[in-house]
Amino acid sequence: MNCKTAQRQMALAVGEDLSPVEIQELQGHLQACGKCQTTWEQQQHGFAVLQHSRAQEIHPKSDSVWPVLSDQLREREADFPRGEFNGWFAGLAVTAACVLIFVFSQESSIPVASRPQIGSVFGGTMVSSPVDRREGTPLRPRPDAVRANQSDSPAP
Amino acid sequence: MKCILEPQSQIDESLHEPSSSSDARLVEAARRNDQAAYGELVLRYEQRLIRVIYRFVHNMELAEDLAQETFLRVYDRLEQFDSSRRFGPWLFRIGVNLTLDYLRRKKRRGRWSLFTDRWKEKIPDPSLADPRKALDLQQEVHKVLQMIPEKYRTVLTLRDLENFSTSEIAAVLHRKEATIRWRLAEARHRFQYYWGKRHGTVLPENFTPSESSESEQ
Ligand SMILES: [Zn+2]
Repeated sequence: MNCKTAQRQMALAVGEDLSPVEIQELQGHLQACGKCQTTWEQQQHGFAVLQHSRAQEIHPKSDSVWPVLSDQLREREADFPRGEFNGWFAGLAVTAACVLIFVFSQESSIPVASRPQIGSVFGGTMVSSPVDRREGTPLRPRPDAVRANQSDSPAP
Repeated sequence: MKCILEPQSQIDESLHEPSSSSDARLVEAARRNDQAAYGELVLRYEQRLIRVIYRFVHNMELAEDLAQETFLRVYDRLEQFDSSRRFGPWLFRIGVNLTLDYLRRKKRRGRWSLFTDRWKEKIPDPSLADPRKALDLQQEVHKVLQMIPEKYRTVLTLRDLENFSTSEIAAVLHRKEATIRWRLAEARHRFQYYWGKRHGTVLPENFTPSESSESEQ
């Protein structure tokens, strides 16, 4: 283990975020490296500050947000009953889908020769799928990126 | 290395308490317009959510408002919730994103008001004028956290101030656990660096915060 790796591991070790095997490896490095021993003490100091801050009590102002929230939900329910809203939304979605199908069916009826060629814009030949030149494998989105796209809102 | 081997006393509050199966039942009931069921979900999670949001905004009234907004948003999106997953991480993802969006908007407005309010008389910062406040550890920690980029700060706040596990943070932020661990290490380094810089403690010899390439393993 070099000092750079040791420092990363120390930052995890300080909050007990290392496995026993990783801890052993780190201990091995620390026993032999005075510079990292100093860094280890400083890491512990920084972590202790966070721990003290965490230990301080946080007191909400109100007992619960539910009384206000339930009033808001009731008011909204009176203005916009959920079932009705969902039906309206579904209707809108179906209409939008129909419009899209119509637009695409119109586009596919245009003769192929008159459609712009994406590859030709860059003066090259059309490639059916983009290929990473170094690896020679087709580019695919990362699995986590796919999952992130499936989430309800973008993760920070 | 003594400290590594000594178990820390940690508050064990996991995101799937009290029971993810009963959460799923309540979500199902709430989807059928059972507001009492939704109320039970709110009561289960509100204290934790308010605390988490407070760690980011450092203002209790605002934290409660944002928590309320989160629960409204969650209620509107109940149909989109995948019942095979845990409700807690989903709720916290919406809450944390809402809070971060709020902070980003506030930051943008702040930059704008720097231009528009330049002519105004400079009002002294009350937190600096009051020595009691200046000594407040939470305030100080909050100030140092503001120096750390958002993606690291978020992980540090959830892990070290709210005791989420790295796997829970991965679920909340929709990232791989390896990514979260990488960010956590970077965040702790940066916190220690800026804290030391601000408070005159010794700085690590061989660390300066840099835009390190993030492991996406
Ligand atoms: Zn070393």
